[in-house]
Amino acid sequence: MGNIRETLIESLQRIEPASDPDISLAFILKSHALEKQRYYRALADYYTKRYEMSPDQFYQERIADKDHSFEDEETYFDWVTALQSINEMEAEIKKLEEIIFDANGHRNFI
Amino acid sequence: MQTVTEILSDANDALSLYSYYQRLDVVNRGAHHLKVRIYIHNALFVQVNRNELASLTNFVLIFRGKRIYGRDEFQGDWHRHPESNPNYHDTSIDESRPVTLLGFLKEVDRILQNRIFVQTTDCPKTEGKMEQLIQIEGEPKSNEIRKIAAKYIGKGHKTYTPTQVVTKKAEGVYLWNAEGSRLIDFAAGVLVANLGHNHPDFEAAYQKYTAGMPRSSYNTFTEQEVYAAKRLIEKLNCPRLQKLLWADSGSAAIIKAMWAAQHYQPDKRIIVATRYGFHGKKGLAGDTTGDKSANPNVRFISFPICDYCTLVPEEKKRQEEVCKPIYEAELKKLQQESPNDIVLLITEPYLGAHGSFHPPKWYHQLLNRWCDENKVTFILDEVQSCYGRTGEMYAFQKYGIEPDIVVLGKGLGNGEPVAVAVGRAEIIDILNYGEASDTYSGNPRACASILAVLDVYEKVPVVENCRKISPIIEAGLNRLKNDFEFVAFVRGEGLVWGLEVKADKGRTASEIANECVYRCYKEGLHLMGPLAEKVLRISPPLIISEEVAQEGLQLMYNAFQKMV
Repeated sequence: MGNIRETLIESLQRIEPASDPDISLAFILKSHALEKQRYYRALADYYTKRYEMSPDQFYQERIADKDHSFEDEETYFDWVTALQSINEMEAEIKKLEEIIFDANGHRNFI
Repeated sequence: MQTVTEILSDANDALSLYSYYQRLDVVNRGAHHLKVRIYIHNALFVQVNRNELASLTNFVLIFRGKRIYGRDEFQGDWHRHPESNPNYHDTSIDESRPVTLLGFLKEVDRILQNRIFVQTTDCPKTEGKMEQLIQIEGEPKSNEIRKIAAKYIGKGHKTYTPTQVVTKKAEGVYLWNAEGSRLIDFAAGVLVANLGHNHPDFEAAYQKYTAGMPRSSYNTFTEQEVYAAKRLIEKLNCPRLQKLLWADSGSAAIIKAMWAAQHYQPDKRIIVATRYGFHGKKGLAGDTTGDKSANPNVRFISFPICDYCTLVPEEKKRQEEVCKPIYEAELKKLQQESPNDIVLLITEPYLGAHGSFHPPKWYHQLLNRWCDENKVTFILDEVQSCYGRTGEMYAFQKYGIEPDIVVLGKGLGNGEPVAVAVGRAEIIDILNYGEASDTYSGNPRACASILAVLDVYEKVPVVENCRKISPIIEAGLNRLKNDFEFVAFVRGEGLVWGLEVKADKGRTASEIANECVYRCYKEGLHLMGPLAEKVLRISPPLIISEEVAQEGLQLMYNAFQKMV
């Protein structure tokens, strides 16, 4: 594992020479979190537009205490998971931004 | 209830607890949620959804996109979707108890057993009799040789064959053992001796081409080498196949083909192989063999194993319409997971070592088209199928495809250790001086054998004979299937056939297959050891006559009668 870490740090230093490796890593992770958040948001928007109701209503109308299809069950799971993940990614992005930016909102460089 | 980590651990355990699960696919994973699929095959899998924060769990057994059984938790309350009515929402006390993933998989196991999904999709490994020293009564001379072999040669050198034939002489389609007993050869080496043994035309031509030649020609050219290359490529007669790299074995040629493809598109990493193929044991060839790889860049995709298919007969009639979208979806998913990162796809015309599974033409055509559309180098492993084995000179002609690289071996030299990767010049030429060289590749004797084989094919109607004998073999094997309970399937093409046996009267399939090989030997017929432990390989030399083919089939029949 030691070697992997060294390789990663060296790589970060080569790719982002003006930045501290931790800050570079935080920056990359933030981009990844934003990408995931965009994906979950698109998924949640799709379900909202398609069913024109909230996931709670969907659950009450199509799943709770009645026979239901696998497709509805999976839709509900994916919908709830997408909404939850949007918030999870938001929290991650905030934490990472604290590392990336100083108190004045400028990106930290060496 | 189980955490996502615990569920993932159960899912991994399932792969070793139940042999029919082929792979685990983590579709989505977050800190508190997880979606995984545990595949039996493309159309039959267990899907698990777990969301810890919302207290949601779905365990579902899915067959061709439909739930056939399930257990769910919604905010702490469990219910079951019974197999008899999978949309029914059974909340009775018995069915509302929580289950773990392993508990659910135990229920799935019972369902699969009852519906005969498992028996038909699983190829369990059964232990045959693997003792090294084989001694056969009435064979004192052969037994002596077997004893010396056991003392001095590692058993890993051979695949297991219960007869361990000691060959003293060979001619045409016949072998003679050390006792002088004649055997009809239904193995042709391992599909190597397409022209049989010591074919007079081949031997004469070989003598002519090797006379006065050096033993080795490393870093020099001989006429034999360059004219073998020229004639071989002209014979292929395929616009894409323009230039070659020699090798001294099939797997070495496969590796060179993959090196060339990798150098050709150096920014791409992912290697795609069709599952259960056999490309060799060494290096990249070994990495792409079977269904699991230590190489993290290898991805396996499904290959049609139609005898084990769970389609109903009505659907089988519409096989292309029903199955093609499943394979297309798998390729599409692969491309989405690794966009612009797939460097090559390797496949073989039919699954040989896994038990002789021959796909429909549209399958290879689909792979060919997908590779072209996605700039993926398409490598076809014709090490076994080339030079007429399928009833066409090359299987790519039979299947109507044009690979970027084709790898030929076995029949290419009729027994000389020679193989070759032939492909588009721009791919082959990407390898620089020395990057694909080795001591023996392209040596004069190997190239002489290629020329000698081509001479014979120009003189003798080898491929036509294969096409003539093929229906005779098929009919003889189907007779065995009709008359013997322990024969499960017959499949093949040209002169490459598999006869799969099944467990019967308390004996495992492996035991029966090995006994078949042994009893055939005692009747006077040589078969190689079973493929995948339960499939008899019938692959005589392509020059076999109708009379000898009929005689060999009758010997099989006689042998099987003694096993009932």
